[in-house]
Order: sequence, then C-alpha cells, then structure tokens
Amino acid sequence: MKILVVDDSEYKIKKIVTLLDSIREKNITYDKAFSYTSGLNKALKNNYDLIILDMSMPTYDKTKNESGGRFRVFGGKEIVRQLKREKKIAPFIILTQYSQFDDTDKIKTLEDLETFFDEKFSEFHISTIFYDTSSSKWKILLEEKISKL
Amino acid sequence: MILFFMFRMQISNKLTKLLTKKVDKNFLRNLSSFLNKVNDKDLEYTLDLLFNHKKQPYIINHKYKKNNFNQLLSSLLLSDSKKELLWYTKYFQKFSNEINVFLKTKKDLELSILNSQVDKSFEIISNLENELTVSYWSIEMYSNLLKEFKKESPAKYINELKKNCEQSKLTYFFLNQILIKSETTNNLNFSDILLETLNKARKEAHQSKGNIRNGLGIVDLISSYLIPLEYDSNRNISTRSLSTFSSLSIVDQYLLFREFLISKKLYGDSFSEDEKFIILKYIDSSEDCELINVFNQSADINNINEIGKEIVKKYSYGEYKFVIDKFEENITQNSNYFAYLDMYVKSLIYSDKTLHNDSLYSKIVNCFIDIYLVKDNSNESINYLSNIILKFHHLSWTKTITYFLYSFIESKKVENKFIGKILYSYGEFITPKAINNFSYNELINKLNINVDLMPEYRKNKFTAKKLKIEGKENDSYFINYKETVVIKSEYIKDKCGYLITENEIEKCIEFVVDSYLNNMNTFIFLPIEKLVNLIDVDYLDEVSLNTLILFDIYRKNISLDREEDLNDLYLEFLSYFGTHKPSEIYNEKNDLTQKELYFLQKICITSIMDSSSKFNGNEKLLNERISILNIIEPNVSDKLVISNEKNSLYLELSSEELKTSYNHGRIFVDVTSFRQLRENTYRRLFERYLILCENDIDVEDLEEYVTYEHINSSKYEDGFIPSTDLFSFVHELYHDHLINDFVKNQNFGLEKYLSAEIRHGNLRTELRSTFEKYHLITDEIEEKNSNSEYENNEYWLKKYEYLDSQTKLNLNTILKKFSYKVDKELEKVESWLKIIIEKEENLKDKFDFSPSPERLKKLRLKIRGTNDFEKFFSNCIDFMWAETYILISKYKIKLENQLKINILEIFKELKNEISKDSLIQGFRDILNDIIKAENLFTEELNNVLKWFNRVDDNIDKKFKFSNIISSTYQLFQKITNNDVLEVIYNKKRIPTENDFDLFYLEARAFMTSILISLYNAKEYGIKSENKSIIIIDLDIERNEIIIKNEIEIDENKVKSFIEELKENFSDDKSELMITEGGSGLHKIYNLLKNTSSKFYVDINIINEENKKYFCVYLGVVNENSCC
Repeated sequence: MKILVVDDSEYKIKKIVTLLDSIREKNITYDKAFSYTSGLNKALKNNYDLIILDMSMPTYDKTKNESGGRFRVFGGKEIVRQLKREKKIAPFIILTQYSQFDDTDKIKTLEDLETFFDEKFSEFHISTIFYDTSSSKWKILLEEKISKL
Repeated sequence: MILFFMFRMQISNKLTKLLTKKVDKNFLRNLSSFLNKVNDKDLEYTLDLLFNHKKQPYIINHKYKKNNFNQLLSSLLLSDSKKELLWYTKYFQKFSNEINVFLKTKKDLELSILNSQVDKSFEIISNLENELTVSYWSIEMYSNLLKEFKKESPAKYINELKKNCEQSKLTYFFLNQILIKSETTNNLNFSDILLETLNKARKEAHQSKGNIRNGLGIVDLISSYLIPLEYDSNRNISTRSLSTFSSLSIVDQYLLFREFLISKKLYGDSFSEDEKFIILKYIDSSEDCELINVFNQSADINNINEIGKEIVKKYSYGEYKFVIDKFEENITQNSNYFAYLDMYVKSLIYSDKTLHNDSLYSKIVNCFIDIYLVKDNSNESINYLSNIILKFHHLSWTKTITYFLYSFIESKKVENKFIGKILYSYGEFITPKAINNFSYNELINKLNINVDLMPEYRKNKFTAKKLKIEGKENDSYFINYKETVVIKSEYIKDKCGYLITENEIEKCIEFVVDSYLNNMNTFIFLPIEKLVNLIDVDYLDEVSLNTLILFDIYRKNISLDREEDLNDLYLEFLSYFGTHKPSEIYNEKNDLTQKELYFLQKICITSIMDSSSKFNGNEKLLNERISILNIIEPNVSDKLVISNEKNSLYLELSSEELKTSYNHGRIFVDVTSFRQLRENTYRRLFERYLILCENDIDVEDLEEYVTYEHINSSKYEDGFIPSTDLFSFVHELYHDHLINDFVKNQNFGLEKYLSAEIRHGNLRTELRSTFEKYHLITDEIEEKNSNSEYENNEYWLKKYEYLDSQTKLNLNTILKKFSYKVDKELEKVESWLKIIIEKEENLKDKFDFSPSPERLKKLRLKIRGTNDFEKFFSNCIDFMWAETYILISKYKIKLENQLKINILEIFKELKNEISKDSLIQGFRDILNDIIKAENLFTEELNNVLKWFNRVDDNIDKKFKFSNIISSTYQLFQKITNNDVLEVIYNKKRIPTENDFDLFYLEARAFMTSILISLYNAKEYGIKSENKSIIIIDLDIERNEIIIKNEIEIDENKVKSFIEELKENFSDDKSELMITEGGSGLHKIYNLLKNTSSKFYVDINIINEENKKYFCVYLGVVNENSCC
C-alpha cells in the first residue's frame, strides 16, 4: 500500500511513520511532504492508495532558505479540493492537532469539517481524526482505518 | 343535563380548592396540571371561572415593580397549542384595560421616539411602569433611549436591576442580553452570536430526554424577544410552545403573543378552525389595530385609504411637494404615515432636498437617501438602520425600515421570505408596493393613473416593466429608462431583475460587474449572491474575467465562503493560457482594459496565486507579484499605491533569506575559533592518545570502569571511576577539554550561542507573544511566590466594561490565573536548556553533558584507529555534535510532549471556565480569541522547533547592512502587539552607495545583538498606559542603530548607573555570557567582539522632551572592504 503523509511537523510525521511501519500486513511504503505545495505536487505526480493529511500547514516546505510563505489554516482541505479538480483524488484521512479553526469570521470545529468532507468527498473521505499528543487514541483509530482499506 | 352540571360543579370545586391553597412561585405550574386534565369543551368555562373567581390570586396579573421584577412566577406548562391560545385570549380579555393602556402607551412612545421627543419618551415609559408594570420591554426601551439619544451607557441602570436577579437565571440572562444589545454598534455581530447560541440550544433540546417542545419553546421565546423574525430562520412560527412566556410581565406576554399570532398568520401554517374561532373571537373585542389589520383585512389596493391613494397618485405624476408636505404634516401626529417612507425619501431626492438630522425619522430618511443614491457612506447608513431595527424591533414603524431596506439591498443575513408581508399590519395605510403580488399594471388600473402624465423616467420604467410582462422585446425601453432615470440604482436593480428572469445570466454578470466597477458601493443591492449561487464552478464551460471579478466582489463584500471557488476559477482561467504566471499573459499588452486591470491588481495577489503548486517558493511568488505591478503601473493614475506595494515586496524579498536562515537553526559552535585558540592543546592530547593506543588492550576483555555508590548526606549517588589508562584519557579528553571548549567556552562554545540566541528571553518571548497578541496574558507584578500577583487584564475589562462588577472580577481572576499558569510552563522551556556537566538530580530535565560510561565508550569508539591529528580533531567535533543532536532531539520531544500538552490543557481549563458564563455574559469574543491564541501557539511552537537546527555556516554568503536592519526589525515586529508594545521605527533609507556587506556570521551576531537590545527594552522600559514603547533610530553616517526606551532615574544617579553597566563590556565578565536575566549587555559585547573588530556597542541615557531614555548604540565601522 502506498501512502502519502503531508504534515509540517517532523515530530508528528515521525510518529505517524512509526505507526505505519508497525502495520506489517499492509506492506506499506510511504512518501512524506511538508507543505501544501509539495504535498499537492506529490499527490498529482504519483498514485497513492491513501493520503494522510494535516489540516493546517505552510504553503511551501520550510527550509533554511524558505520561510514557508502563507500559513494555510485549511491547507489539507485545499489539497483535497485541488486533487478532486484535477481528477487525482485518492482516499484520505485528515489527522490534525487543532480541534477548532479560525475561519476568519467564525470558528469551525473539527466536526464541522468532518461533515463537510462527508458531504463533498463521501467516496474518498475515510476519516477525520484528532491528533492528541497526550493520548494514543489517534494511533488506534488510524490503524483501524488503514487496516480496513 | 344533571351530569353536565355535576361535572361543572366538580371543576368549580377543584378550582376553588386550588385557589384557596397558599399561592407561591409554582402557582401557574400547579394550575397547568389542573387545566391539562380539563377537556377542551370545558376549558373555556374553567378559564372564565378562574378569571372571575373571587379568590383569584393577585399575582396572576403579572404586574411588577423594579424591586420585585426578579420574582417572576414559573411558567405554565399547558399540553397543547389550543389550550395555550384559549388561556391567553381569556387572560388578555380579563385584563383588557391593562392591555389597552399598554397599546396606547406603545403608540404614543412610537410617535415620540420617531420625532426624537426624548424627555416625553422617558416620561411615557415611567408612567407605564408606575401605572401598569415594569417589563423587559420598558427596560429595553429605556436603555435604548439612553444609548441612542442621550449617548449614555445603560450599564449602571441594568446592572442595578441585575443585582437581585442571580437566582432567576432567565431574568438575569434577559437583562444582560438587553444590555449587550443596547451597547452594540454591530447588530449583525450581536445576532450572529445569539443565533449560534440558540441553534446550539435547539440541537441540545432535541437530544435531551426532557420536554422537547418546552425546551425549544424557551429558545424561541429568547429569539422572538431579542431579534426580529427575519434574522432567525430556525424559529418555529407555527407549532412552538406558548406556555414559556406565561411567566413574564403582562406587557411582555402580550407583546410576544401578538408577535406569534401575526407571524403565524402571515408566514406560518394555517390555524385550525378551532384556533381561528378562538383568535377571531378575541380580536373582535380587541383594540389592537395591527392584529385586526392582519386578521380581518385583506391587503389589497382597494383597501388603501384615500389619503394613501392620493399620495401614490401625486407621487406617480411627479408632484413631490404634495408628498413631502403631506408626510411632514402628519408624521408628528400619526406614526402610520411612516408607511409612506419610500415615496417621501424619493420625493426628496427628485426635489433635490435634504433634511436636517434633528429627529430620528429625519436621520432614517437621510440614511435611505444615501443608500438609494449609493453614496460612499451607504454602508454606514445600512449599519445604522440595521441597529435601529434590532434595538426597536418591537415598535411598529421599524417594519417599514425593514421592508424598504431589505427590498432594496441584498443581505445574506436576513431571510427574505419574512419581508414580503411585513407591512400588512398597517392595514389601510399600507403602501401598494408592499402588497403581495403587487404589479404596476394593477396599480395604474385601480387608481386610474394616466401613464402619459408621468415624468419621462417613470414612464420609461413602467413601460419597460409592462412590456416584460407582456413578453415583448424591451431592450430599447431599458435604454430609454437608463438615459432618463434619476435614481440610477432603481434602473440597475430593474435591469438585473429583467436579465435574471430572462435567464441571461452571462449578460447579467457582465452588467453587474460593469455597474460595480463604475461605483463599488453598488454591491449593496446588486444580485451578487444570487448570481454566484447560479454558477456551478465544477461544470462551468468557460471562465471569463467577468466571472472571476464577480466572485471577487462576493468575497470582498459579502462572504468568504466561496473563496476556494475563486481560487479554482483563477487556476482554470490561467490554464487556458498554459501558464501559472499572469504577468506572462499581459506583459506585452499596452493598454489594459478596466477589467484586466482589476484582475491583475485585485485578483492576482499572492494569497490567490499561491494556490498554484507551480510556484516552488515564496521568493518566486513575490517576484511574480512585482512583475504584475510593473505591468499595472503605467495604466493607473494612483501610482503611489503601486509603488508602496512594490517597496513593501522588495523589503520582504530582501529580508526573506536572512530571516529564514536566522530562524532555521540557532545551534552554533564557533569551531573555527575553537580550533584557532585550542589547537596546540589538542595536538598534545593526540600525541598522548597515540602513545596510549600502542598499549591498547581489547576492551572486551577488561572492564574499563568501576561503578560505585556512595552516600552524600542523605542521598545515594551513582558514580564511576575509569579503570584503564585509555579510559582515563578519554574521560579527561571529554570532561576537561571537550566539555569546556565545545560546550562551556564563553567565547566560542555552544552555551554562549544557546544563551544569546535562544535562552536569553527569545524563546520565552516568542512563545509568550502568542498569548499577548490576543490579550489573554498580563505581566507579573511581584516576585514569584505562592501568591504571585499579576496585572489586571485591562483590555478585556474595557471590552466588557458594561457588565456588572462581580462578573468582571471573576473574569479578571480567571485571566490572571491563566497568566500565572502559562508563565510557570514557559519558565520550564528555559530551565530545560540549562547545561550541566556534572551529575546531579533531575538530569532528565536539563541539557545533560555530564560524563557517563556509555558516553565515554562512544567517544572512545569514535576516536579509535585515528592516526592523524586532523581526523582525531574532526572526530572529536563530530562526536560532540552527535551528543548535542541527541540532547536537542530530547529537548524538542519535551517541547512537543510536555510543554504543548500542558499549555493546551491550560487553554482547555480557561475555555471551560469562561464557557460556563459565555451564554449569559456574551463572552463569544474572548472565546474566539482563546481559540485563535491556542492555534497560534501550536503554529509558533512548530516555528520555534526549527531553531534547534545547526546554523548553516555559510561563511561566504554576504548580506547588505540595510537588509540586516530590516530583517531584524521584521523578526521582532512579529511578536509585537500594538496594544501592549509599540515600536516606533524611524526608518531611513540607506543610500546604495552607503550600504555595505557583512558576512553571514557577522550578520547573525549583529542581528542577535539588536534582538537582545529590543527584548531588554521591552522588559525594562517604562510603560505608558500599560504599553511599552521602543524607539529605533538609524544613524546612516555612522552605520549605527540606536534602540531607546524610556527610563525612570534620578539625574544624579545617571552617571553611576551607566558606569556600572559599562563594566559588562569587559572580558572579565565572561561568566555573564551564559547567565540569564539582567541586561544582556555582556552578551552583546562578547558576541560582537568575538565576531569582528568592526562592531561596537555603547550605552547612554539621554534627555528628550522632558523624558529620559536608555539608549543602546550598535554600530559597524565601515571599512568598505566588503562591497
């Protein structure tokens, strides 16, 4: 199974990847991307069985020469929309550490986003999971969802 | 028959028994149980008995004074709507005198408010409260009069009433909402917040196990009292529980009951025959004209009164003086004339007249004039009118404002289906336009209006509309209409309506865009939302500039909810040209059209262009925007706007690289200097190592160290002693040399840079700024002890100044506690960075470089087999970096695992504490900011984690002095918040010929020095009105930056103070390099001195405008050798 993980936190990616490595029966290979642009480009260029996406991320990969550009509160959502537009959408799971999002004039909750994904991407949206660093619940949920694929 | 009478006797006896019991708060509840058991055909009899009973309790009249207003009864709980209708009609019949007093008072008050007779209005309210009852209505009217007419806050008045209401949650809530509503200048914000709360409550009511009808009824009660129907599309107007408002004063009950009847009649399901019978029977005896008009009169042109017909005719013929005079003569005597507001306003426009704003109605009229003529202040006028509607929506004349305003403008927030029949309560005074299915044809026929006698523009308008109905081609009449129209907005609206009806959507979009570009204020009435909703972005054949501009207008003026569609359309549009760069499409075009210009200037901005994944970095994106601005510039008149934007982009570009480098790695050891100064020592060590290696014994066979436990006072400690010569050497190499040089050396070691660039306030300040930005945190007053005291949170106390003092005290206490907890956590991030080199307790919470057998074994293996000095030395350095990375990695994990979790938990506690009171106190603003701060903290923590990379030596890279200054300023500016910290940057452009280069490491040292000075200025400067002010000056000739903050010091102590601080500028004070707290001056001195001899630092205290300023001077001697 080929998976793309898109997240700007190296620490979080490490945790996800450790989990993926432990799911032996799926024979998982994975790619990593750290921003909206690199995540979108990888997803457009390759075929993935699953994309695990953070919600909020910078526009570009942050490096010693790159500041990252605009921070996108709904970067994960934007990637998924662009993939649908380009007819390259794949099954996806949102894994985010934010439970509420500042949508300029109102606050959106994770439940609001989950409802949105269920409505607009019903075929491809597998799950929206809250990444809570203080518990392992997210690992159990993520593993469960991947195992069902 | 006998049975019938016996049964009735039974009811009478039971009722008498109930009424003879002690009457308390629960009387109505108990009465409900009794009434619910009575069958429908006996209920009317029972109620007649009750309301004529000699033992009828006095409290049933629901009359209150201010001192017992909190003692509302519990409400009825009748089982169905028919019972409720019967109860209320009988109740109001019983108290018909009181109701009539209220109706007359209301009418008088409506007239006096409209004519701004303020004192009279206060008197009317006061009389009603004395004669009849205090009510939410009277309290609200009083509050609004104070606010709108006397410009005084009603806070004191309402907080006084609230004092005794803590036990009565609903009363407290209502009073608070009246207060908040009265204070608001943004009615949509108030109603949005309320609606969010109400919709949440509706959801919870559905999920609860209790009485759902009642639960929802309470929500609808709150909604119908506080906001007009058209703001709340979820209000149940047909089957809601009416029992819920039976606990209020008689005035409030009547107000809500009539509102329910009128709403359901006009917009809801039909009443059943039984219900109709009950209502009409009541109305027959009622003196409520509005109720009578809605139920008994049909809205028809024939039913308009003669004066109304006359006004319409004269208006149609352009005899505006008649209309104006008639309105002005009568509006002071009869508020029903307000129904003719629209014709009056337009008559004034056609007559080119204005009104002086000496009354409320004239203010309202002038607002409408601004709106119809689409003036620049039309948005403010809309806001003013919306506020009036919200605050006075229980008064009849606000319906007129609602109708004409929302018939004209497009509003996402208002439910249009509730606008149509809103003026039916006017009865014979209704204006024909407000009648459902109104047509000009019918009007002309029924009133015998001769079209030929109309002014040209009106004739053209009527003809255009008439021909449309007849299905004839009328484009040419629209042209005539356009050329002769006076109120252009009417023409634009009519044309849009025509194009949409004819399904000419593309033409309509084009027309809307042209109208908008001609006058951007027109968005208020253009059908932008309607058109946007007609477009399915996924199935659009072609994306035109018109479509793009339409979506942009929507985004800017209506809502951001289609912003993603705009991005998609933009990408689609560009794909037609095979490029992701708009500049490539237009770079050879000489004269741009208005729409091309709009597209390039307003749509091709970085936040839309960066949707394209073909830009691979921020620099490319910014450069593209500059290219676009270069194309736009020759085509615009206001070139200053373009050049300002370009300058800002250039500044961002020039500082981008340096800022990014600075933030992407602050872990540094000056290995070059290390080697220069210590090479001889390490050469000697290497020689000793070689000798020892000749006698090396295979370590598998021998223990290299011996461990021991020893008692040190009351503790056991683990220790070890090297037991071979080689291991002893390794121990010495590590403990005596590598730690002292690589880690602890105060001129080139790790700790020097760790302290200067991270530990000395930077990390803590950066993280703390995320809380400061949203004013959630204040500064500590005293030294930390168990009763740490923090400053009051003046920002939020001011925001909620109208609330009562106990609520404000509670909020302030919660926020102080939050500040304390956050600071306690942030202290840890610095203490975890404390470097220790000897074993001690709590090693796991420090940067532990202490020797251990495992560590020494690794070093031993690293240097094993090296037989030349270069390899030996580089292996030692690599080993130290590897150990450093391990510690950094552990530190980063602590930040992620401990700090983040703890801070998020503190946020959660804060949210919970504030949410408790959120509904009642209206704490939505602060709750939103807490969420934003929480997300910002998470984002900032991610940024700060990047500091813990190794500095890229980049020794050959050079940066301009001007870039260094601007980069540093931008880095610092990111954490400033204008409310608590203001930075006055007296920016001067450094001429190119005076600008010079510094190498990367030199630039870093200079930047760090500036930042330390700025952090100190923030920390130690005197605050003015709770705000720190820092001033940055540039002396271009001396290549010097001066950082100033105000200071309080006796004149005779200045000299000694400066002298004492200058002692830090000495190599003898090198221990200060790794100490936190204090001025950081030695750090600056050490950093600059050890980087390059061209830097200098100085300090002074100067007098300026009767204030003393502490100044830090950081400069570069320009050798002109780098340019």
